[in-house]
Amino acid sequence: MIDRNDRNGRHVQAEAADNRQERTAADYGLLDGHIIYVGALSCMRHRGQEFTQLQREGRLSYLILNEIDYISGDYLEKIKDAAREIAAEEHPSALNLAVGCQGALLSTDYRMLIGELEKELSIPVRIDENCHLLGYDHHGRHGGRGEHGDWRNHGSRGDHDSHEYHRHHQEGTSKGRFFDLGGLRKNKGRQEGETGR
Amino acid sequence: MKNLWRHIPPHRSDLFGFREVIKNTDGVGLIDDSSQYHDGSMFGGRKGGRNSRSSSSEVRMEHVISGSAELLLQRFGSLGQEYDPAFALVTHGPAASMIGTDMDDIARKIAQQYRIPAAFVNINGHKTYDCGVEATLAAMARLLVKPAERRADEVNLIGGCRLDWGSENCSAVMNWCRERKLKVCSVWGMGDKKNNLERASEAAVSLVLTASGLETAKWLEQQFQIPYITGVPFGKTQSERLYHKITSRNPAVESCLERAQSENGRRAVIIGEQFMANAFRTALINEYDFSEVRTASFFAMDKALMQPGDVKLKSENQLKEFMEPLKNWTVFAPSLYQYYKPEQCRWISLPGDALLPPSDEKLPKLVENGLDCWLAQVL
Repeated sequence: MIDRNDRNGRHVQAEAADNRQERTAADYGLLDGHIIYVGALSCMRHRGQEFTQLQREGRLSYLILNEIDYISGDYLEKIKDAAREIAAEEHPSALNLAVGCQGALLSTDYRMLIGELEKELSIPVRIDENCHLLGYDHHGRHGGRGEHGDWRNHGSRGDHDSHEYHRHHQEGTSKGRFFDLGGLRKNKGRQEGETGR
Repeated sequence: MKNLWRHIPPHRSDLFGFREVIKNTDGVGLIDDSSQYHDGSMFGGRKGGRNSRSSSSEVRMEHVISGSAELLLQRFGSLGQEYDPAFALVTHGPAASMIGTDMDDIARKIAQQYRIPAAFVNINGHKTYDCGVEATLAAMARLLVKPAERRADEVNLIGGCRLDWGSENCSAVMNWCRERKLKVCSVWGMGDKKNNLERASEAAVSLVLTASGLETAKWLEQQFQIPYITGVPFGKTQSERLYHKITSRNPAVESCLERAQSENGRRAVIIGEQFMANAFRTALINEYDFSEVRTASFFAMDKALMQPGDVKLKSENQLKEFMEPLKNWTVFAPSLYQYYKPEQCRWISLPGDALLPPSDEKLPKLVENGLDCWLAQVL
């Protein structure tokens, strides 16, 4: 166990084996801002140890939704509420929404969602459709589908439809994903505690 | 916000409970889901996942249109070839459950094609692991148990798995039965073969070890008039009581508070699986003179076994509110809940595998006087 303070100054005891190198958000190739990882409880198994570390650093929160949220369409409002809460309390420089299969299945218009959030919160909002249903595999077979709001280069609207986006998506590169764990794994080996892919 | 978990990592989902039950049997489990399930490197990682007697269909977007029935049967073919299963259970993950594949029909087709019993377990990755254990055990009981003649001295052990108390305590519970000369008829959750599970109706009594085992025990009682007793043999007092209840076939639920409460002001709260927490309560009140002991859990809690002040937790906010007034209390809880550690409390870490990622720490041996020895060390 190691003692540390999180970003709010509260003392936390973090589990870390002596032989495990502690990693920071930067090690995970994470851009600035706060991640909201959205999905069913079962989806939360992915990237166990890595995301726990980010949560300890105050860089990640889990939004766990149930079937009624998806069926009724409430999930969109809950994502907005979560974004509002994080923005109001953490004041992140950007928000990164990681969403999964259910949203894809329901053909969610994430472009509209992030457009509304950016307007309301006045911070960049990015989306990463980290979706296995679409064939995403972070071990390199396919890239994630994302980049609706790459604010630094393109602004929040329009880029998703570009030829470049589709080329990257088809070629299976990681363009548009706001974290890329494949490279880290290739160089440093897999994390302990991994519970899914 | 109720659904937002900002400082506590998520708990394992019901599909992990499904896998955990299947893993220890001679059956196989097939999950209609878009990705595989693994246990983490400390349990063998991906390799461990492959040996878990369960697999995922790896359903893709095209199956939303075409249906995943053919894919599931194809996946079952390779799973069946690898394990030569005695029975099969199928279930689905969160996205696949929205597609609406007729999983009962898949189970029927598997049963017909491979001539093994097969059933659908109705979970979908939205609840915690204990719900998965509960549903899987109940489905297995309905599928496998056959009517048989009662034997006066046999016991069914129902509920309890590695995710509840770790592998060591599961083995220790089995040893406790052997040492007490209790004849175990069938074991539900910690691992058993189909042949034994089928003859659960021969038992004279069922011992329910966790709240996840209650549904199965109630079903066995309803179908075969097998009474059940609840509790886990953690701590000397509790073990003796439990043994007495089993041998006397007296399932009456007794309060653990029969000893006069002392006025010394020592108070404790245990956050974890209900039956384990109740065993802690019995030990703390009877052996350590605690005046007030509360339990709380994110997992299923049977109302009949709750005491005033016990709380079923549903969200991180609720945990925060529950913890805030516990100044100067002794808190037994997983270290990952420590963000909400009350002021000046004494925190005793209660490791477990129910949270993601699994902890490096292991729960100590708690069976019989194991709990008392550990409490003597940490208190």
